[in-house]
Amino acid sequence: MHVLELNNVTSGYNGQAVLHDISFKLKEPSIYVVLGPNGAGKTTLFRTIAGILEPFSGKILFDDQNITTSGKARTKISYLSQYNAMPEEMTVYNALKFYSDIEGGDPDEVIDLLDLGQLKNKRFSDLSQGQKKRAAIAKVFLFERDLYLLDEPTANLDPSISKEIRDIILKLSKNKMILYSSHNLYEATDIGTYLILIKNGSVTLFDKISNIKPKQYRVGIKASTDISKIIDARRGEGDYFVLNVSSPEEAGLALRKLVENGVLVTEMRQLDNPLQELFEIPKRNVEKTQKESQQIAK
Amino acid sequence: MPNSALTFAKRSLSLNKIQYVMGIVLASIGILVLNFGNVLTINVLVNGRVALASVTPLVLGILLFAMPVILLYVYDKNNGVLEYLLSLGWNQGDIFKRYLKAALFLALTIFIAEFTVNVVISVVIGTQVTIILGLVVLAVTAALGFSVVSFVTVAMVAFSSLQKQRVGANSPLALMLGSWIVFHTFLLAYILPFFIGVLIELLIAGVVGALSIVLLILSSRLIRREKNASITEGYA
Repeated sequence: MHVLELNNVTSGYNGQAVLHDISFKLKEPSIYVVLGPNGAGKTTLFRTIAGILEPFSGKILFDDQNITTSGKARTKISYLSQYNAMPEEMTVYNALKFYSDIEGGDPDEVIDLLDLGQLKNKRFSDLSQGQKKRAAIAKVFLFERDLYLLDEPTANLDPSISKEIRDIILKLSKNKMILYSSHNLYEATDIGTYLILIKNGSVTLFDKISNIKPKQYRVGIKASTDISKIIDARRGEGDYFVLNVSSPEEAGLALRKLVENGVLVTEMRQLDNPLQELFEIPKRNVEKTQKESQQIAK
Repeated sequence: MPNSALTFAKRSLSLNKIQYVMGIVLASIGILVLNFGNVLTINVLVNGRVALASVTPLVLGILLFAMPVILLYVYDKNNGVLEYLLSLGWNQGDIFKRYLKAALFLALTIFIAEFTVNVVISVVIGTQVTIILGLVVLAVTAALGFSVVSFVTVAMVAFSSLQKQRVGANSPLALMLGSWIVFHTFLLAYILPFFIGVLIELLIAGVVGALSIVLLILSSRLIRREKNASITEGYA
């Protein structure tokens, strides 16, 4: 079993800290979604774990080897950055061959795995954004690694391509430790098992996504009649009646009441993502954390 | 780490064909100058001076032929390829060496062509003395060519690694630096006797070669990480 451990890591660029005193430990193969708004420090975290940035302080250990100082430790990790990092002038096959000559692996195997057969003789620069991303993901899975760092692999892609990319990652992620960054709440709940919430360079939450329960659920109900007289719902967004409940069970009870009253319910769904309220953080705490980290960086 | 200098060399070939053509043109001029001396005069002193003067275009041809590697380096930096190589466990020294090998591979390719064409021509139209002169000039060309290509490549990849902004003048800057080092050969040919000129040029080649080794060791130790403002500013 592999272990990634970050101990009090402060990191950034040109003496300016972006990450402040980050600590966490990953012990089991799973998809860990690093969630945070734009500018939260997700890419800096990934670049630091990948060994591209040297932390100002703290240690990053993978299987007890220091990633920053050990090239050998970094060979166990694969990093998909927001750049595709493919030689754009080459064909997809040659670009994959270029990397397989360096790190090993079989280009034909990943071409089959990611269904790139139609694209393999096309120049990388001639591909669409979605196709480029698929080829870049193929590069990451050329050689089997113990830890995969995927930095916003679906950024700037349309929803259907994003879904396709997520499905590919889910297919390839069995028994792998994957850190997957996103600023998309729905994507996080769709793909992840664990959530690492990062805001203003600090980890504010690390838990199983299934353990994260919102304080209140907003449930949208579409029904054949005005249900506000039967349950405590009001007409709200679009055709939905909006019901505020404190648990999914309470929503079930409301549904039973509607059915018992002969109402035909055509749709019922949670209106907000359960992770949405995690995005808010008191401003005072953020400023305090940033000040402390700047002192460490100095 | 398998040797992929050939792949890097091929990649740089696809990026800038004009420089290769210019390199071949300059190398051809060098061969013409070297052999026209043989045809025009049998005066050894004059032949020696003309032969030594031909080192300038011959070395500049090598330099031009190898310098698209600098362009490739900047291109790979901007596309995230270097970042990916670092994440695979390489360090800056590994990266610098890989691009240096590619540049030397290209330099060797054109030098072999220069050598072969020149030997064939001088055997056909030259005398025993001019053939020997030609071989001495080619030895100076090799020493100076490889040392200048090494120095300029290491200096420019180190410089490019430190650049925070994307700018596109690294390849011309490399050529200017290399040309500045090479230009003395043209003057020496007219100032000094042939063999003293040859000795001084070999000495300069040795100094430049030693400098490039020192620079390679120092830069790969001092520059441990890439600088890239597009990443620092664009993504947190």
